[in-house]
Formats: sequence, C-alpha cells, structure tokens
Amino acid sequence: MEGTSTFSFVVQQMVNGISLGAVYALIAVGFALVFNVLKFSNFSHGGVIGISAYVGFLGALHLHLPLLPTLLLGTLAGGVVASVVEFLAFRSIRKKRGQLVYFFVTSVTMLMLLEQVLVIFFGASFFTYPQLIRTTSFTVGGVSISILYILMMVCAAVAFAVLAWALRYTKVGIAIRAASNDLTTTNLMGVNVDFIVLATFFVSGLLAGLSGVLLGMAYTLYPQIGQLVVKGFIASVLGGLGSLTGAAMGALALGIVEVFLITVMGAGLSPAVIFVLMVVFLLVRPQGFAGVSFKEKA
Amino acid sequence: MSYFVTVGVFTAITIIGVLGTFILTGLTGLFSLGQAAFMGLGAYVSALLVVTFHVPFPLAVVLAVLFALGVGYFIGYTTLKIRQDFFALATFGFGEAVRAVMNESVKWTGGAMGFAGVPQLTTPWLAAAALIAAVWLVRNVRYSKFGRDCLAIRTDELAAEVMGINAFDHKLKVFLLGAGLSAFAGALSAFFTTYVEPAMFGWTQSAVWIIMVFFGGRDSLTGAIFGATTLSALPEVLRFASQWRVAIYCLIILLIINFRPAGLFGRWELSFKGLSRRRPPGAGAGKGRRKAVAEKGGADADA
Amino acid sequence: MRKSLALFLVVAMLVPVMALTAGCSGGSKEILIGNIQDLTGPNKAFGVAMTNAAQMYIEKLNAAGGIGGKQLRMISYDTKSDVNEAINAYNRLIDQDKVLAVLGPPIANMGIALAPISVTKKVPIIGLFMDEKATTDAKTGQPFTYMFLAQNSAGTQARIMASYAINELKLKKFAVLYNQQNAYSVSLAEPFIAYVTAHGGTVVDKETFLTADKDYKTQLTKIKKAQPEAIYMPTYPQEIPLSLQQAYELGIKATILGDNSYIPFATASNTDPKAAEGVYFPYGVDPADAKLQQFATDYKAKWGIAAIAQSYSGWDAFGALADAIKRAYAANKKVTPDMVAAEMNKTKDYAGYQGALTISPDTHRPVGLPMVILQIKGGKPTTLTQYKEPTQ
Repeated sequence: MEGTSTFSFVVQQMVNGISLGAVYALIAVGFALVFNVLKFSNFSHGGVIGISAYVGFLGALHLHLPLLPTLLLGTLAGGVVASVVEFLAFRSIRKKRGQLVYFFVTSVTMLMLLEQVLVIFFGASFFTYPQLIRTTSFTVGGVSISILYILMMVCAAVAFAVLAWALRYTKVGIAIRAASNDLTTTNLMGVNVDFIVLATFFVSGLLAGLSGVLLGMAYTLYPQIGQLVVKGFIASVLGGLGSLTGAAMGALALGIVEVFLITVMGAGLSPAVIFVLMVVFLLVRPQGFAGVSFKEKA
Repeated sequence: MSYFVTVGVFTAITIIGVLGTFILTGLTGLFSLGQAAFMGLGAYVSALLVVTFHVPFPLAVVLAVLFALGVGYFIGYTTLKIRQDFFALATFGFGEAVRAVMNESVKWTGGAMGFAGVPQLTTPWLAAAALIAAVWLVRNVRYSKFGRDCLAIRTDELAAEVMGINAFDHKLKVFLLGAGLSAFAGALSAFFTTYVEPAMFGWTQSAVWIIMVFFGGRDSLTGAIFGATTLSALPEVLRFASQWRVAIYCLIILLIINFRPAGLFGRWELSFKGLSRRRPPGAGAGKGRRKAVAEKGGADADA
Repeated sequence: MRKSLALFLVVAMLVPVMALTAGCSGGSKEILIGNIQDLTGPNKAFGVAMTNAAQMYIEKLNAAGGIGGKQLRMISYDTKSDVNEAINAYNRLIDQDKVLAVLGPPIANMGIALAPISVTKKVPIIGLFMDEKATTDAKTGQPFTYMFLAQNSAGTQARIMASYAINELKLKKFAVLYNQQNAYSVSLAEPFIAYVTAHGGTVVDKETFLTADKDYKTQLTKIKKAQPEAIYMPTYPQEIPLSLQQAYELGIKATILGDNSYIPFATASNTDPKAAEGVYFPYGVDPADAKLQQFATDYKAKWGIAAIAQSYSGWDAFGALADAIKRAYAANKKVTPDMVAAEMNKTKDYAGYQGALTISPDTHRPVGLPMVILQIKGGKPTTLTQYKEPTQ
C-alpha cells in the first residue's frame, strides 16, 4: 500500500538528513558569525532564537500576519534582541578586556535568562503556530518533501548568499571581516569597533530571528527551543569554527550523520557517537572541513 | 529526620559537587559543562554496586569514585589539549553522551524511569564529615605549591610552561580531582535521596554549579561555599517560584561579571582563627589598587 | 570591619534556620492535607489542574461542615518538575507541617522516588503517578503500604489500547515510536509491546527518540518501511502534534494509536487536521458525559481555565482520600495516617468522574476501572466505547 522500495527509503532518509541539516545550518551560520569576530561560542544566540520565535508567534496569532510578514517580524526582533544583549551583557566585558571565560559564562547565562523570560511571560508549556502554510508537503516518486524544510533551505541559502555578499562588498562587511582578523588593529585603523561588534550581533540576531520563526513553525514553541543552538555549535565544530561556509557544511553533515545513526543504530546512543565525533574533530582537525584556521585570542 | 536536616544534607552534597567545579574553574580557568555527568556516574555506579551486586556501601563509594576517575582520565586526556571554550563544549558533549548511555542501558539503570529503592545510608553525620573532608582537601590543594602553579598556568600558560610547569599534567590532575569530588557528591546524593534518574545530571546542573562558583568568587573557597549554600538552600527555604529563582540567578551572574568579576568574595577567605581574616598563603599576588578594594581582594589579578 | 563582615555572613546563613523553626503550626482544629505538585515548570498544567480540583473539593466539603467538625486545609508545595524537590516537599509536609495524608503528583518519576521514602515516613500518598513501580515494590512484588494510585496505571492503559487494537480493530502488525528519555512514554510503550506479542500480534519496528529531538522523520521513515498496520505513539504532549504531523507528511497510512494526552494536543493548530484524523486513543473520562460537563463549567468559572484530564482524575483522587478520612474518623473518632492508609485499601465503588473507583489491596491500584476509547473524527475527539482491562 505504501511505496517502500529500498531505493525510495534511502532517498527519503537522504532528504530527511538534508532537511535537518538545513535547520542546523540556519542556526550554525549565525552562531559562527559572532565566533568569527569575537572568538567565543555565543550561546545567547539560542536565547535570541527563542525570543524571536515567540515574537513571530504573537504576530501571527494576534495580528493575523501571513507568512512573510511573520518571518520579517521575527527576523527583526532577533536583530534587535541580539543587539540589546551585546550592549547590556558583552560590551563592558569587551571594554575591560575580560577573559574568554567571562564571555562564555555570560553567553550561557544569557541563554538561561532569555529562556526564563519566556517561561515567566508565557509559562513553561508549549504553543503551536497558527497554520501559515496550507500544504505541508508534497511527494515525488514516493519520497515526501516538507514545504517548511524547503522554505528553510531557501531561507538558509538566501541568508547565506546575502551575508557572503555583504561581508565581501559592503563597508560594514569589510570592517567585520577585518575585525574578525584582529579587533585591536582594526580599531587602530580608525574603524569604530563598538559599531562593528554591534552590527555583527545584529546580523547574527537577524539569522537567529529567522531560524526562530521557522523552528517555531516546523516544531512546537516552547521556552527551551533555543537550546537547538547546541546543534549549531556541533555543526560549527565539524565545519570549522572560523568559517561561515564551514558552519553551513558542518550543519548539512551533522543532519546527514544524525539520520544515518538513527537509521543504523537508533536514536538512543547517537549523542554518544556525535560526542566522540566532535572530540575527534576538535583534536585531529580543529580547523574542521573548511580548513580555515583562526588565531587564538591573546 | 527533620526537614531542616534534610535541607542541610542536600546543601552539604551540593557544596561538595560545587567544590568539584570550584577546583577546576578556580585553578585552571577551565570549566566543564559535563561536571554533573561525573556526579551521575558516582550516583549510578555506587547505587548499582550496592543494590544489584550487594557491595558494602563504603567500598561501593570508593569504587564509584575510582570509576569516575577512570572515565575522567580518558576524557581529560583527550579534551584538555584543546582551547578552553572548546573544552567546555567537549565536556558538554561528554555529559550528554553519559546521559544517553544511562537512558539506553535500561537493564542496569532503569532508563528514564530512574533507579529507585537505593537504601538511605547517607546520614547527616556522614554528610557533615564528607563536607569537612572535601573542604579540607580542596583548601590544601588550593593553597599548596601545586595550587599556585595551577594559578600561574591559568594566568599565563605559556609563561608557566617556560617556568617549567607541565600545564597539561597539572590540568589533568585538577580535572581528576574535580571529577572525583563530583562523583563523591553523586554517590552521597544517591544514598540520600534513594532515587537516581538521568535527567538529574544534565548540562544545566553543571551550569548552575558554575554560576554558584562565580557568585561567590572563583578565587575564594569561602565564596564558593557561600555561593553554594545561599543559592541552593535559600530558595529551598523560601520556596519561591522556580522561574523567578533562575531568572534572579542569571541576573546576579550578569551583574557580578560586569561589575565585580571576582565574585562577591574576591580572594577573601574566612579563617576559623577567631573569625578574623588571614591572607591565604597563595593570594599574595592580589595586591590591589586602592586599599578598600584590596581588602576584599576585588582586584582580578589575571583579568 | 572584617570581623563584622564575617559575623554578618554567619548571621545571614543562620537566618533561614530560624525562619524554618519559626514556621511550625499545630492547630488541631484543622485536618491538614499535603499537596505535592508541579506548579511551575514544563508539567505545570497537570499540577495546577490537580491542585485546583482538590481545592474545589475542599471548599465543597468544608461548606458542608468538614470532617467530624474539622475543616480541611491543603498545604501545597511546588515541585518545579524536579524529583529532589518532591522528596524535599514530602519530608517537609510530614516533619514540619504534620499533614495527615498527601495528594501526590501525576508524574511517574516522582511517585517512583517517593515510594521507598513513604515506607519510613508512613504518611499515605494518593496520586496519579501512573507507573506501576510507584505502587508495587519491585523487589518483593508487594504493594507499598502508603502509596495509592487513583487512576488506571500506565500498564493498564497500554493493555487497554493494545487489546482494543487486536480484538476490536483486528490489527496484528504494530510499530511503536516513543521518547526513550521520558518515563511516561516508556511506561506505556513497554507493556503495550508485551501485551501485543503475548496475544498474537507482532511488533515489526520499535523506534525511540530523545527529548531534545524534534524531528522524528528518520524513525518514521523506518517504520513506514516496516509496513505496520498500526503505530502506537505514546508520546508526551509537546511531541504529539510533531509525531502526528510528521507521520502524515511522510504519507503513512497506518492506523495511529495514542495515549491519554491526545486531548487536546492531537488537534493543535500547527498540525494539519488530516494528520490527526482517525487516531484512536484511550482516555480516563468520557468527555460526552453530562456530569463531567457540569464540573467543567464550574471549574472554568472558578479558575478561568479549562478543565483537563487531571482535573477530573485529581478530583477523584482527592475524593477517594476524603472518603477514606471520613470512614476512618467515623470508626475511630480520630484519624491517623495509618488509619487513612488502611481505609484507602477499602475504597470500593467510589463514584468518581472516571467511573466506579475500587482500589485493590493487593496492588493499591484501581481494579476494573474502565477507560473510554476515543477516535478523532472530523477534527473532534469522538467517544466510541468504554473499555476495561482485558482479563489475562
């Protein structure tokens, strides 16, 4: 009654893996952007994802926004929240040249705080987005493809292309890239570093916002939704933390590896295998797939 | 056992767990998001040994700690070579992997249903004695030559290496000490609550310990103990809603990191000699800017 | 100055101690009942529902004169979805507040954790912890003296679903998808598999996922390949819309069997209505029951939120407990926790919303309590039939 040839099974699992990879890619690229400039793993990214997912949800529910305005609203909210986070939590540490530890602790604390803000205002239980897309999937030759995942892939690709272009050709983009090489020298060269860092957070927040709304739509909305940032992190490790392309590639790889592991050995032990994989990458190939190395923040 | 004693024992166990984080974070600047997994290993291994294999309780605790040390050696050996924030994340992965194994091996651990029916063998006196022993141990390590060497590594690893300190070796020893302490806390906790489940040992637990350490100050043993006591017992006694508790924790940490990065206590240590402050032998370097600041050790020498 | 700071700190640490010892009350004019629930955290909805229902029962009872002229008062502690908090709360209720009995949480892990402690504390807990390990001591096979379950156990629920699928729906090939890290999920999946395999059915695929996973398509694709006639998905509220939607997107046509959390979560707004259509699941109460609807109206009027399954079963749990206290008081002119436990064992045909509640002294769980099988038709849960646990 159902098409279940081995071929379509394999193709379906590949599609599942790539779809999952697209979800992770959106998270990973925004995560990698901040790492690129400030050289620390910014877990508050997850908190921004969570807040924007709820903002988009409120817009869709109460203002009856259709799909595109909802995405736009969530994306902007992400940019704003991330900027506020930078300004309130990270700026003074940076000014005082605080250690990496402080950045890290602050970012994890921000993640927990933003989650708690959601818990306080919306409760710990979950919500579901109104249905913004009518058809949810289509079938090609016995293989089902989810429209939402296609949307995510498109969004990830567009965001990535715009980002690559902006980093290469706009003034701010060039300054961000310069800052990612060396924050101090960039400052000496007359670039307003405060502005550049804020801009970096804003852009990474836009990506967080976009992924937040898409995640909220694809899954359910709950305060801990931002913890998916961990997947973005693992993806960045696999792809090479210094590189945006690496993060995107790592995300796709992670999606496919997860699907492979679940198919072969079930979901139970796959975190253990992923962990081993992560440590092996950190030890053997810290530059990841992309091979871009970065300098230790002195 | 009265409710007050119960809270006291819980707090003592928390302090021992937090000491594991304190020693690691305080001496090496590293911190582990998998620290709670060591607590989990200690809890599960000791509980399994006693309940399933009828090993005597003290031996089971020793074996559980040894087991955690063995795992810790493997994890430390492989992950301590990498950058400090990667280390945090590698330990995060380790913690989640341990939880996955606990959930998966249903036959031994009971999986998600938890492991119930552990006899209650952690008496208040045992908890108190364990606490004193752990504090004594950590204090001696912290203010020994070894501890000072570690601080040198934390401040400038390259310089310390030049001075002939084997950074990796020191870090590994500290990591093992931390793992052992957390595992010990886990064993005590399993035999006090009588119940263990994988969900108790997630990364958020490790993060809460880090928060407690930073609250009191990662350079002050008194501070770490104060942090653990205040942040674990006070909300329990006041019983205010958990959502506010966590939010307030987070705000405190953000304020502390921004305005008083050395934590509430800085380098200040409580001395039992007449409750007067005594400059701990290792803190000589902390001569601060103004006297008032230096008094409480506010200067973060290595920032 | 240094000394004063040190002293200040010592005093600061002592303050909570004094706060504790000062908080004791010992009025004998009241009957104190403890209440251990998640009032915050992810399972808040269940805990709030039980607390609200119990509060309504108390108000009704107190208005009618209480028990033996004494008014009932409930002391609630928030367990914050943390098992350690539940243990703390239970100890505190007994040592500080001196309660007579405790209304327990609808969370399996907490029940399992509290059970061995109740052996030493000797104060009965009546709750909705569905896993059988919370009421039966796995080592001895005997019931825990002070633990009582006031709704069908997870095992019973799973067997009811399995038996209905085999005997009424005539299904034979099953697949199971569940959350391996969630006690509720596991405690349903295992007895289902055991029953199916013992009664002529086969389980062609068993897939698990983890709490952090939100995408089950890989597992569902494997299940689809195994071609089951039905898929049992005993998942937690948040996972229900996801698993239904994703199965639908993959074009899975097999019959889907659910659990008692499918109301209202199977019909969430982000799920295609077609995804939930035709799903079967068991439920503790019959939503079409007129008696139930009156309660739902009162509940909504009082609390401003809709009644959920735990509101009804929570009422039943508290009602059975209050009846036991009444009987104990009538027989002895006073009442102790042991008397309450003894009377709980004699609970027979208590007329609750779930049906006639009889608690077996051999298991401390209900016997012969039916469940209602519902099917989602036209986007609405529709009552099909009452169904009892099959006799083995």
